[in-house]
Amino acid sequence: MSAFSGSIKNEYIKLASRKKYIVFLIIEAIICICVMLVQTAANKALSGSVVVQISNMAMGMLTFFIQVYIPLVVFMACSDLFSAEMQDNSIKAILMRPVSRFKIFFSKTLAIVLFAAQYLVALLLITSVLEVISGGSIRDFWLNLGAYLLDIIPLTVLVLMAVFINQFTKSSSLTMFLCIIIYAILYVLGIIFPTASGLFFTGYMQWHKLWLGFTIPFSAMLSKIGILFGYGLVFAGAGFYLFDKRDF
Amino acid sequence: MEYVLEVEGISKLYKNGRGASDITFSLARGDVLGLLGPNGSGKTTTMKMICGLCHPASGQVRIFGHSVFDEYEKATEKVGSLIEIPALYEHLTATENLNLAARLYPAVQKEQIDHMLEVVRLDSYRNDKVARFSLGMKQRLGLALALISDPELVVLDEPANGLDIEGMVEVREIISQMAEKRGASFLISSHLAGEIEKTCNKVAVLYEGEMLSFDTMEEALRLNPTLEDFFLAKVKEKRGRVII
Repeated sequence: MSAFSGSIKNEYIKLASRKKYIVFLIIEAIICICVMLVQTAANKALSGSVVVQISNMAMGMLTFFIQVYIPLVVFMACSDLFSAEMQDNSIKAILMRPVSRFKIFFSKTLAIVLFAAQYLVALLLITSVLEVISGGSIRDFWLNLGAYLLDIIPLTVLVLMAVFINQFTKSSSLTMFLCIIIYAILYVLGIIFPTASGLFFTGYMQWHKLWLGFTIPFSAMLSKIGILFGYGLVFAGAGFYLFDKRDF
Repeated sequence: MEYVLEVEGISKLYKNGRGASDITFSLARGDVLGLLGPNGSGKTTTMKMICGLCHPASGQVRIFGHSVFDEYEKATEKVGSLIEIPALYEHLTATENLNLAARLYPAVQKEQIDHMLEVVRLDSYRNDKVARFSLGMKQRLGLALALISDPELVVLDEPANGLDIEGMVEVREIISQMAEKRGASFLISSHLAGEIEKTCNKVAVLYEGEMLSFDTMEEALRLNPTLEDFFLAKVKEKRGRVII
């Protein structure tokens, strides 16, 4: 196993071995079940006069999870692998091994992206199973899978932003707070100033909407891709620069 | 002569004025060099620069001929280190901590992990979470982590920290065995002159960030009954220089 893949596996194991992330996964499942139960109860209460049903549960739940729930998990994972490790000095355990800081930085980042993607996969599976149980169909499964995969791209940029913020302080709670505040500010700014919302990457969290269904012209799409990738490059470059220059 | 470790004029001063200045020494195969100095003399800063944990303002460090700053992976391939308090993941067990380290060395087998746990007498605690370990147990696990890859250069910062008398003797035995049988080189820091005297064949005295001397143990003890006297003589000499 090469140092880089070994390092990614190590970082992933460090995250997966924390019980809180299993609890978050269970909460994710509970939220989905609750939504399905509320929907069924509403249908029964209205005796079928008005049918309350999310046309595609997987897509409906994705909107909430990709914008609210998974970003919180991402911020927590970033602060666990960066600022918390800097705070308790355990980061030295990997820094003193024959792995360059470049590989360490990106193996941590990649492990967080994989970890967040795992939450998306779990969400897709849970919602698909619930859809079948509630008598729906999963004929849109492959389309849903495509949408989920597309949303990993803005999620990666979000991870890079959180990793970048983690380079400024050793306090994991402060980093978590900063990540949430900055994300919320960018998100709200996008709502208050809809004309400028295209400039904030938080507006692209539902990236699949640009690609699936009614798509915008290719030239407009290209500029949006540019903005998203630009954010990613800036966060990755600046984050790595700060990490590389840091004394431990 | 081919050196395992070459340190050339490295300096690192922190905002509070502390750190290490113009440190130069070299280490040959099988050498056990002790960095002796009080707290705040620059021992840990020097070791951190050698291990690439902090960037020096000037100077160069070469391990097996490779620059630590330009060829980090090659330079640290055969290095094991324990700097300050052991860097451990407290939510993982002793075995899991060793597994994480072993995964980064292709040659390390599972048997080596079991062997290291036996060497540091933690085999009966292998599945216990590190958070429950005492300071001494953490220190022993830190030592196992430093030695897991069978390194040819071992950097140990205050290895006796938190260890009981038996533990200190065991660490000394491990060091002498590795140095004599396998020709491994050691760089050890301590503020305990007695510990350095018993373990090392070379000694460097650090004081207020400056390296006051670099001698073989024989030379150091030629005119002084103990290493403690040698250290005090060097400090006195430096203070005299400052007064003049």
